[in-house]
Amino acid sequence: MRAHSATLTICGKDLRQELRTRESFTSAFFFSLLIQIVFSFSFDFQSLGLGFEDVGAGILWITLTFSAILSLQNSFLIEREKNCLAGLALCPCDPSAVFLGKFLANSLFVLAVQVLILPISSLFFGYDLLRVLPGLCLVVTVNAVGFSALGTLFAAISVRTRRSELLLPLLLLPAATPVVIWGVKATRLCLAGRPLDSYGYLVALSACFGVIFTVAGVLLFDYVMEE
Amino acid sequence: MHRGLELALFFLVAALMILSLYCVFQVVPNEVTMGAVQRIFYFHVPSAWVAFLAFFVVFVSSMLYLATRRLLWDVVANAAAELGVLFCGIVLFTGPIWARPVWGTWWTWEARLTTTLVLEMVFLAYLVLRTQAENRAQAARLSAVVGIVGFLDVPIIYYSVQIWRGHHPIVFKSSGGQGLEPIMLKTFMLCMTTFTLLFLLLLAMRIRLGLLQEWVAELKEQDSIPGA
Repeated sequence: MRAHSATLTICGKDLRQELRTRESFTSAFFFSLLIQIVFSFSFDFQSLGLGFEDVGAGILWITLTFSAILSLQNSFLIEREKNCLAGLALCPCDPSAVFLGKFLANSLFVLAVQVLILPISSLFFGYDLLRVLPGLCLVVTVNAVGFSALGTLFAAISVRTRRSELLLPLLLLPAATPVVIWGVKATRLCLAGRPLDSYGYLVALSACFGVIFTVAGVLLFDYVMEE
Repeated sequence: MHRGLELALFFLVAALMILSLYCVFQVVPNEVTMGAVQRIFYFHVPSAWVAFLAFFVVFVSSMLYLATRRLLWDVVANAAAELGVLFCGIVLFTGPIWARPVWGTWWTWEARLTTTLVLEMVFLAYLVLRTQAENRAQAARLSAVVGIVGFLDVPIIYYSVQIWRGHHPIVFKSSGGQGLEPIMLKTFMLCMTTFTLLFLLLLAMRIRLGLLQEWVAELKEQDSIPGA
C-alpha cells in the first residue's frame, strides 16, 4: 500500500469509527463545556470587572489542552480493545503511515471540538467572536495541530503502559509547554484585536514545533509500535 | 567499569569534595553585593551543568539503544536520567535559597528557572514511564523514545519561555562571567571538575547496580520456569 493512501485509510477508519460511536467527540465536548462552566464560576467576570481579553486566552487554552488530551488518549485506547494495536502494527504499510493517519484524525477531532466550543465560549463570556474569528481560527488550528503531533506520539507510548490514563498528561503537558505558551500569547494578542503582524511569528514558531515533532513521530513511531 | 577504577575515582572525588568545600567556605572572599549567599553559586551552577550533561547522556544512550538494542545502553540511560533528575532537583532547591536574599523572591518565572523546572518534569515523567511498562524490553524502547524527544524539546522550551517572559532584568551573569575574581574563577572551575567527576562516579555505580538488577531479574526468570 502506498504511504499516503495508507495514511488516509487509517484516518478514514478513525473518522468512521468516531461517526458511528461519537465516543471521543461527546466526552471531549462535554468536558470542554464543563471546564468553561467551572471557569465562569472561578472568575466572576461581572463583579470583578475583568474583560475576556485579560483571561480569555488562558481559559481557551486550558480547555483545548485538557480536552485534546482526552481525545488523544481515546484514539489509542480504542485500539487496545480486541488487540487492534497488533493489527495496526501488522498493517502492510510503513508504521509512519499509521502515525500520520492517527495524527491527522486526532487533529481533526481536536479541531471539531473547538468549532463548537468557541461559539459557546463567546456566548458564556460575552466577547465578539466574529471580530477575532480569522486570527483565532489560524492560531487555534496551527497550535492544535502542533499539540496533536507530539500528543499522538506520546499517546501511542502511554497506551502501551499499565496506567495509560495517568501517564499521557504527565508526559505531554511539560513537553508541550512551547505550543501552550505560544498559543496563549498569540490568542491574547488576537483577542485584544491586534493585527496578524503582531503575533504572526508566534504562529510560525508553533508551526515549526508541529513540523519538528511530526518528523520525530514519523522517525520514532516504528519503535513504539513494536511488540 | 572496573571496580578498582571505581574505588580510585571514589577517593579522588571525596578528596576533591573536601577541597572544594574548603575553598568555597574558607578561601574565596565574600562577593561584594550579594554577600555570603553567593557561595551557593559554586554548587548551584555545577549541579545545573551536571544535570544537562546527564540528560545529554540519556539522549545519546537512548539513540544507541534503539540502534543496537543492547540492554547496557538502556541501563546507562536509566542511570543518567535518575542522576539528571537528582541534580536538577539540587538546582531547583539551591536556586531559591540564593534568589530569596538576592532577587527578593523565592521563585520567579524567569526563562532559565522555568526551563529547568519543565525539564525536571519531563524527566520525572520519563522515570514514571519506566515503572509503568509491561515488560523489560518495552520499558527500554518506550523510554528511549521519550528520552530522545524530551531532550530535543529542551532548546525549544527554553526559547518559548524566553518569548513568554522576555529577558529578565537580573540574570545569573551578574554573579559570573567576565567580572569574576581569579580566585573565584579557580574555585568555580574546581567545583565544576568535582561535580563532573562525582557525576561520573555515581553514573558508574548506578550502571553497575543496574546491570546487577538485570542479572537478578534474569536469574529469577530462569528460576520461575518449571522444571528448569
